[in-house]
Amino acid sequence: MSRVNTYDLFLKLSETITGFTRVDLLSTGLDVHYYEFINAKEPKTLKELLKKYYFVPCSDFSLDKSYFSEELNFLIKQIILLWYTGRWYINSVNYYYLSSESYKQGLIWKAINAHPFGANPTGYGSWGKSIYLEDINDK
Amino acid sequence: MINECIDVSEKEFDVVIVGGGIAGSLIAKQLGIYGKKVLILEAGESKHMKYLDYQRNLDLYYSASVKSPNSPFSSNSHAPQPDELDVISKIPYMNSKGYFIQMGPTPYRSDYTRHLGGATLHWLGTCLRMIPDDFKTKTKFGVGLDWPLTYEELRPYYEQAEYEIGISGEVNDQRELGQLLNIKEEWFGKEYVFPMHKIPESNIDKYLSKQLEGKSITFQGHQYSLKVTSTPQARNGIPNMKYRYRGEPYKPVGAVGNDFQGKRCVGYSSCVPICPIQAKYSALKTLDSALKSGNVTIVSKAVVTEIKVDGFGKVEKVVYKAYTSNNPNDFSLYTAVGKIFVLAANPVENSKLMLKSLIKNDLIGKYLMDHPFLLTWGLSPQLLGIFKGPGSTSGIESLRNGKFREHRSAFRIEIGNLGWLWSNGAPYSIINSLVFEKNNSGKKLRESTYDMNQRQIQLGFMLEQPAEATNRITIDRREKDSFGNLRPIINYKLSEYTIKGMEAAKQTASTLYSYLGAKECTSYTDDDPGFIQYNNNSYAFSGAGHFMGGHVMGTSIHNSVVDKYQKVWGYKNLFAVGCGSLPTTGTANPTLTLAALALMSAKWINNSLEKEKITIGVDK
Repeated sequence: MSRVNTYDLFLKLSETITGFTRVDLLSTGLDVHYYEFINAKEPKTLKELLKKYYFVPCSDFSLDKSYFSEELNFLIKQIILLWYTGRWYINSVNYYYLSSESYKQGLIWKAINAHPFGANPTGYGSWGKSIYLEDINDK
Repeated sequence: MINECIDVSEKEFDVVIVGGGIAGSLIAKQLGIYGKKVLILEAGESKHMKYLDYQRNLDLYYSASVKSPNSPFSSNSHAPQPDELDVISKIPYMNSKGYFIQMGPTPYRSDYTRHLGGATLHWLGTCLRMIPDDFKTKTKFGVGLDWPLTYEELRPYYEQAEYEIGISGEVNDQRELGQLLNIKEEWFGKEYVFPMHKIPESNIDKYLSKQLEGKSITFQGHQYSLKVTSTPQARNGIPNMKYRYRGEPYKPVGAVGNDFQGKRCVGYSSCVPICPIQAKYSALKTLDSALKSGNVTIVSKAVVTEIKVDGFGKVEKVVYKAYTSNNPNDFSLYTAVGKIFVLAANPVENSKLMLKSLIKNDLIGKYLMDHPFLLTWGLSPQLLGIFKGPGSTSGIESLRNGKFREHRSAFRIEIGNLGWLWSNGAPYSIINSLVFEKNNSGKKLRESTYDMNQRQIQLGFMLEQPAEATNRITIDRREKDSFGNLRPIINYKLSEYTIKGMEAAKQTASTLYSYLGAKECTSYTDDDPGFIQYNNNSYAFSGAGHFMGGHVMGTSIHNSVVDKYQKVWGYKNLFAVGCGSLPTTGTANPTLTLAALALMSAKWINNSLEKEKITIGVDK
């Protein structure tokens, strides 16, 4: 484990649990920030999680499996939601944004084919130019 | 000129306006153009007249846990504001921990902003005209109050308001709607067009429009169409070359302090609470243009606390508290002197000020209204291309008028472009439940997040609420906050007439979701502060942010606080303007109507100042 780059392992784990690619994750510009944040917040649990992940040979990662303890399971959920929303969930209800940037960089917007409200505008009329509804002509 | 917390007692103004929101700024601009010396006293801060300071509000929005209407506009202890997040319960006491003291029995769920620019900083920008029948509901339906003026009288001012605000819309869509609503009067002038072409309809607008083509609903044996209509809105679009105002074509107005920004909406989707580039109108634009006349002075951080009247019904001056820091003792009391005084500080603040100053009229504070808002939501069988564009670009407006108004409220239906954002906190609520409840992760999580969000339909029903004297704003001189501000006391209840409207709204929602082949997902829980049970069915209403009433207009001092020019009965030089003057809510978002009324008042005020010049030879 000592020779393994734990930051790199964190990114690999993140790819697996979020369903996003490394490029997607790096494009947030917050990868190092997130890693350092979690490492400072939950150093032991993160280390344990990464160690365990290192020895899991599967890429299809499911939280249903009893492979992870409750504590590790919760940390995985926190990491998923941090990437998706920019929020740190203290429990399933309470959370806070790490920063205004983490709100904007939430991958949820990419996941739903949208943009963070208040940032990255999509252009005049873009809301009426669908990729799904080809059968509906513009008036 | 903008100043903070200065003393203006040495100067004499033609007109002193209390409040720098849309009503006050429109009046200031008109009077400034006519050469009158105008003072605006604004309780809140004015720093966002500077572009970069305005932009800084965005950071507050981005990092706010709950992106509520006031999230970018911070609270100020010298000029406290209500927050919709103050309402957390059905128990009135629990909802009274903010600025308002809520007496119930139902919570008043709306809020406003006490900053220069007022609530137009965080509004959506929907600009529908009221329909002529809204002006005579008592005569026509036996409900609520009649207006002292007709739609025809107000129509030219609606046109002027649409110019001043800058409306994008398609007038032919409104004309077609006029026929469905059985409007006999000339709702829009024959040659009239809006300043800018309509904001393009969204994907979901087009989908609903197609699915609902030819569909209708029956109420009491009458059939009503379910047609989708594009919404006229205060949002910059493409100028209509056919449009002329006093001979001039329309030029979109950009952001205050940065004219390179905001001349066209580019879809930031954060209209409520803040348009980053000011493509959505706010009163800051009117204030900016008012200042250019050279006749308008703005003093911010100046909270008017009292109106001083002489023994003959003439206002002599107003007293204001000019504060310099966020310390309760850090203020000075100054006075402002003028010929005419205009209260333009929002229905609650206007009522509070008149009550405190012992303005004589038993109806002050009474007839408080809102548009109770019933959210409904469903899942479409197909992907909709949503979560883009302004919050709403179309509505189903064809149920805003009909014989049913004798028995229950009418409503308009706002089609949401942002999924279940308002009703459920989507897209976050979806991923939260997928992760915490369904244990989803990886590619499956990503796919479900997409699918569950992109099929969301949200239809918001905005209900009419008739004026009732028991719904009111009062004060109690003992009820002050730690800064010495009187706290508004709110008594509020929805009548059976409105709840019956809610029942019809819910039935309409079910009909609509069934026409759309969508699964209706609406469910109301009894922990919602707006939860109501009626005829064994459950509902939960929200506020629309539409404070109305408090100083309603009418034909005499016996039935109203102000006349049709919004002059307070019994006082020679006192006006109370804004949504507080509306005797009925109708089903139009009220800002456009308040703007039209303010412009009518501005003309009247100017005429009376001119007459005074002739009779007593002032300013010669």
